[in-house]
Amino acid sequence: MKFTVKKQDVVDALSKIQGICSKKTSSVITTCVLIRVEKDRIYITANDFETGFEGYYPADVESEGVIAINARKLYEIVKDFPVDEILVTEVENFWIEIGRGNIQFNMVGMNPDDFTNLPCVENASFFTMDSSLLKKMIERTQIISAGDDKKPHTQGICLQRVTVDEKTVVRMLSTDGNRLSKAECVLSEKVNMDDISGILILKKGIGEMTRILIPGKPIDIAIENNNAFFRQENETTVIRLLEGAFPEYSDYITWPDARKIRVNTKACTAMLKRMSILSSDDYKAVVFTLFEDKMTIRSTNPELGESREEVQIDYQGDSLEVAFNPRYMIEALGLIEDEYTILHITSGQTPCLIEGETDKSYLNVIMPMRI
Amino acid sequence: MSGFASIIGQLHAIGALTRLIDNHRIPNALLFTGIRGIGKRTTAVAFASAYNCVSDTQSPSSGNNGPSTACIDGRATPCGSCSSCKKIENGQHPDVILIRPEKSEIVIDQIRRLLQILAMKPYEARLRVAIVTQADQMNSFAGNALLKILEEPPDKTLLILTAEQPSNLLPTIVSRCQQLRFRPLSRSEIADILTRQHGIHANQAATIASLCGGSVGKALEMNDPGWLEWRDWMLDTLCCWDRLTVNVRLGIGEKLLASPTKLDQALDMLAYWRRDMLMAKFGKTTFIYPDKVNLIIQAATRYTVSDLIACLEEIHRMRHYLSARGNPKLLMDNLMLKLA
Repeated sequence: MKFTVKKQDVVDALSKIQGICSKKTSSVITTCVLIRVEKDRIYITANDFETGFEGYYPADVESEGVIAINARKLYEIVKDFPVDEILVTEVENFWIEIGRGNIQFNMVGMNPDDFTNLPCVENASFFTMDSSLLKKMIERTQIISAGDDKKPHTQGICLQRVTVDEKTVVRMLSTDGNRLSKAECVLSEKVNMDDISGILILKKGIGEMTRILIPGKPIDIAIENNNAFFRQENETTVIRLLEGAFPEYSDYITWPDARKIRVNTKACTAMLKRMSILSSDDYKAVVFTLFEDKMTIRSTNPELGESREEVQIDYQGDSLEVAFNPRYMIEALGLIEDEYTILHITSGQTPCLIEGETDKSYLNVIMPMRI
Repeated sequence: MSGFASIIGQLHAIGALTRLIDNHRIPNALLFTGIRGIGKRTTAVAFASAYNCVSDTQSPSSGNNGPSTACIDGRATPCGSCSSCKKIENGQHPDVILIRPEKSEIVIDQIRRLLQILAMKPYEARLRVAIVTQADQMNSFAGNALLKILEEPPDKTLLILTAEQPSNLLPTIVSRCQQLRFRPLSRSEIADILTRQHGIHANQAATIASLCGGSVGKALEMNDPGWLEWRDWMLDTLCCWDRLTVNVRLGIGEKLLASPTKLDQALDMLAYWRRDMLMAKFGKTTFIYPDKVNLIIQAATRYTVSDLIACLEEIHRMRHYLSARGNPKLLMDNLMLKLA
């Protein structure tokens, strides 16, 4: 095997897979990247059995072949290579020669037959969406990190594709048991395929995929067998799906009796930040009291002291008291782009819904704390 | 060679497994029991290959879109040459997960990692197989964590546990597994394995086979250079045991502790010797050390039956405390003082 390839192509691809190849698994081969040379291109593949990546790049091919080589070391070698074109030659017995002449590395590779191939993508039916929209949805759902209880629905993000009013809506859901995040986007073109009723994709894998995502280019998505495929031109990421299903959540987001409280997003965030100054792990709740056009927020920490702040809101009716973890609130508000945010509060025991005043594509649900 | 054909002996267990395959019935969990070194893990791996061999199978490619667990087809004779069989044999298959004790026990972290892997759908296997070897070495935390999978096994997943003594496992685990007993191998079977698969000379193989108690694992340990000499020394010591002073016995104890790998066998021999003496007392002739029969009969006259039984109990207690992580030095000194 012998080929010459542009340095930048390889460096970009290798930097994308470092996360995949650095993970500890039962098999040593996962630390390797597989380079397959065919016709006029090279295929770069990495696989840790949870997340996989494959990309192809143009190359000047002298002879075809396949090698497996430590991804981290190859990246370090290639990254600081002083020339723009890199010559790679397989010598024998998995020995690989990188460069020639003044600079030359000889590395021992591994048997490429041990490498587990990525699941086949050929027959998958893809739908296309804007990668920036996808990225935004991921940011909005990934804010909730994996829960400790190892339940599949807290370890993964749920992806749905449904048809609503003749339009295709892609929805992502994430929860850790205390809160839930729902992000939606409407595709510009209707997808004529069966709906995806809900699959769970590992949060870690999604994180890996966002690193690989190139903004501005459309992305093709397919769910096939046990895997989710994300393809952008020449690069494909494969993430293994989780067993199990996302729990039924519609009861948690429909509260017809909820009081709608309109707050300024930025001011409210700043206020909550002030309130959380005095909170600690043992005393993290901030208490919201709603009474006659006023919202009072206070946090009490017997070890440090207490703080209190008052804002004018539009509220009529009985006094209402509810406590939340301020961090959850701050994170939710941080993802709302509207100037004003609507808080839907029903009672001290029911969840609070947070959404933008006009942008209904994002909803955050936070369970209250016991006072 | 792979598959069940390579497993010598164990016809009963393999028959039961083949019936499972033929009847398209996959239990949630299997528990293989029997002394170590008789092919429990090898059989488990072969069973995994039986379900995942991809050469010329009925269902397409890797079978991810295949039927649910209820009708996954296996075959009693995996080819051993397809990519799936090879990966399973080399321990590279992403869906055949092997868990063995780290150091002396299986800890909860290992089980948690397994839970994490099982939370995902299988990578490519028709039937994912998680093999927990020496499951009786699982501590109680790990055992309870494993119960979770046994209670709600994921789809298309089979759990195989291997253990020497099911009584050392949590009863809640044993009750959730289909148990399959593996028998010690016969002398001729062991000799056959030793000569054919490990190239050991027939004479030596026969000697070892008669001593290893039906375990290939043990037999291979015995094949270590110096083992036979060590055994001869041990036997010589046993022959003159009743004439040894306390100091000498303590010295012997120290020597035994110095090679921890042989400690188990040393305790065996101490026990077998007394067992043979008991046999002699009751006029039986089934000796473990038939070549020393005269010495045994002679020595037996110097002990009473209750003395011998007390000694055996003492050895048994030593083993028990050792497994409960007692101080080996103190235990050995204690034993040597008591085995007069």
